[in-house]
Order: sequence, then C-alpha cells, then structure tokens
Amino acid sequence: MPETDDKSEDTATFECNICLDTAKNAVISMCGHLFCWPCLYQWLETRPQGQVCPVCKAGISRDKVIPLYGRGGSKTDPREKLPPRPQGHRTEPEADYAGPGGGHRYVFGDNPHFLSFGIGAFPFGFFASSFNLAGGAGNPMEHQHRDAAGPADHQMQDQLVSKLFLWLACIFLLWLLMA
Amino acid sequence: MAGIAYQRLTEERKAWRKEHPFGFVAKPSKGADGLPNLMVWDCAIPGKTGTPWEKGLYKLRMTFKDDYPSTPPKCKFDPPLFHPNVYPSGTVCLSLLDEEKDWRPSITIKQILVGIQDLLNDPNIKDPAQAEAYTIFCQNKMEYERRVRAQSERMAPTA
Repeated sequence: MPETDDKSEDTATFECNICLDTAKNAVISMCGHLFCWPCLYQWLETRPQGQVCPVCKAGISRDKVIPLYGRGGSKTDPREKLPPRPQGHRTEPEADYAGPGGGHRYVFGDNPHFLSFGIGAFPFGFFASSFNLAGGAGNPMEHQHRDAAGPADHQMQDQLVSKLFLWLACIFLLWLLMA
Repeated sequence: MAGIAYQRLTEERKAWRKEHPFGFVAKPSKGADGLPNLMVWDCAIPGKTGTPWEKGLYKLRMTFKDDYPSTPPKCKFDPPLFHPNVYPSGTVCLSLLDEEKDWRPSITIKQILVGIQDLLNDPNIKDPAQAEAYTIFCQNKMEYERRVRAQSERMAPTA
C-alpha cells in the first residue's frame, strides 16, 4: 500500500473503535476507549439494558462518556446534537381534553363541584343542581369558554344564591321554633 | 443506520488489504450486477498446520446486517463442515459471534476469522451444534480425527 506505516500507526490511535475511521464527534468512555458519538449511540440504542463498552465490556452509558474537543473542532457537546433520535415522536392521546367525547365527560365531571354549593341548605340543593344542569347542558365549547372567561363571576353568583337560601332556611326554622 | 455498517465495512476492507493473516481470504462478494456487495463477504480459513485440519481451506460466507457492528455477522461454512460447533446448515456457533454473549463492535473481521480457525481444532463440547460430529468426537476420538483429515483433503485448495 502506498501509505507509509508511520502515518497509519499515528492515525489509528484516534480511530473510532466501531467504524474504524478517524473519530468524528468523538467521545471517550471512562475505560478510555474512543468512539464517534453516532457509532456509540447506535450501539447503546440496540441494548437499553446492560450497556457495555464495545471494546472491553466495562459498564458504559450516555452519561458516562466524555466528549472530546480538539482544536478548531465544534465546541458543542456531540451528545446534544447527534444523531437525530431515530424514534418517531410519540403523540400523547388527546381524547381526554379535546374531541366531543372528552368534552362531555368534562361537563359531567364538573357537576359534583357545583352541587357542593347546595350542601349548606340541603332542601335547596335540588334547585342548585338543576340550575347547574341547565347551565351544563350547553355544548362543551360554551362550557369551556365560560370556565376560561368568567369562572369567578359565576361562582360568586352561585355562592350568593346559596347564602340567600341558607338565610331563608334559618329564618324558616326559627319561625317554626317560635310558632 | 446502514451508514455506519457501510463505513465500517469499507474500513475493514481497507485494513484487510493492508494486512491480513497468511492463508486467509476475505473479500466482499460480487453481486448479480458484478458490483461488490459489502454486506456479504466471501471468506476462507486455512486449517492450522500441525493439526488434522491443516490441508483444508474452508470456505465461509459472512453476512452483515444493517445494524452491524452492533450485531455480529452471520458466519456460514459453505459447504457445511463436519465440526461439533457447526450447525447442519453450516452456521458457526461461537460465543464471539453471539450478540448475547461475547460479541463486541470492536471485534474485526480478522479477529473473527482467526477465532473460527482456533475453534476448528479446539471445539467447544459444552455447546454442540450438530449431532454427528459431536457424538463421534465424544465416543471415538480416532474416528473423529480420521473424518477431519478426510474432510481437510476434500477441501484442500485446488490450485
């Protein structure tokens, strides 16, 4: 081969132990073995459990390798940019918060909350809950909008009604006792 | 990720052409289109001198997967070999070539071939892969050696 042996010996020291080429985006393991980060990444990906050094089988992990920065090379951590993760993006199931089915469940889920306003005066709880059902029967969008725009407003009103009924109940009981 | 496999095999080819153990052969196979296929290599392993295997040159096909070198290549003797650790299909059973056992991405094609050469005269009786060679090896060492010698003569290089 035309290459001189001296030169090849020198460069071999800085060859990745996986692709056998000069290490690019180099990282070094705690056991001292040099790799290209993309090469090592592929190896680590194939075995999420029991990750070992591709040379000496010492324990290894993403967090236990050190990026090497040569002169003039990029100063960014190769682990940050390379390689683009091979897995697809996992989309969270959104059915719970969006879509018509989810919306309805949201409305029903809120009812106990409104019912609690009627507890103080149980004979009037029926009024309170029926009042709320009337409000909740609208479409979910309207319901969400109401929640977002003026929840405080409605709660105040409900509380006011609740207190009014409570006072009426007290007066009624007092009147019963007096009579 | 076939990029890493291709790059690695290119380097393996370079390293082999620069230097390889005497008597061994390893080269990418020729595809139907006449172009070299880096993912399948045609190899040959000479029997060690001083052993009943010495006259033979045993042909072996090495098949690499896209995730090589994370996974080892499949090594298959063609034709299949009379040896306790070679499956009837010709596939070599060796811990070095087992992803779950001793395989490491840093193992080179050269190391694999030398490792298989070592295995020829030093079978691993705890891990048999074919009944014929295994039973003869266990029951009648003389007969086993006679069979190995006959095979080595049958597989002697023609040139």
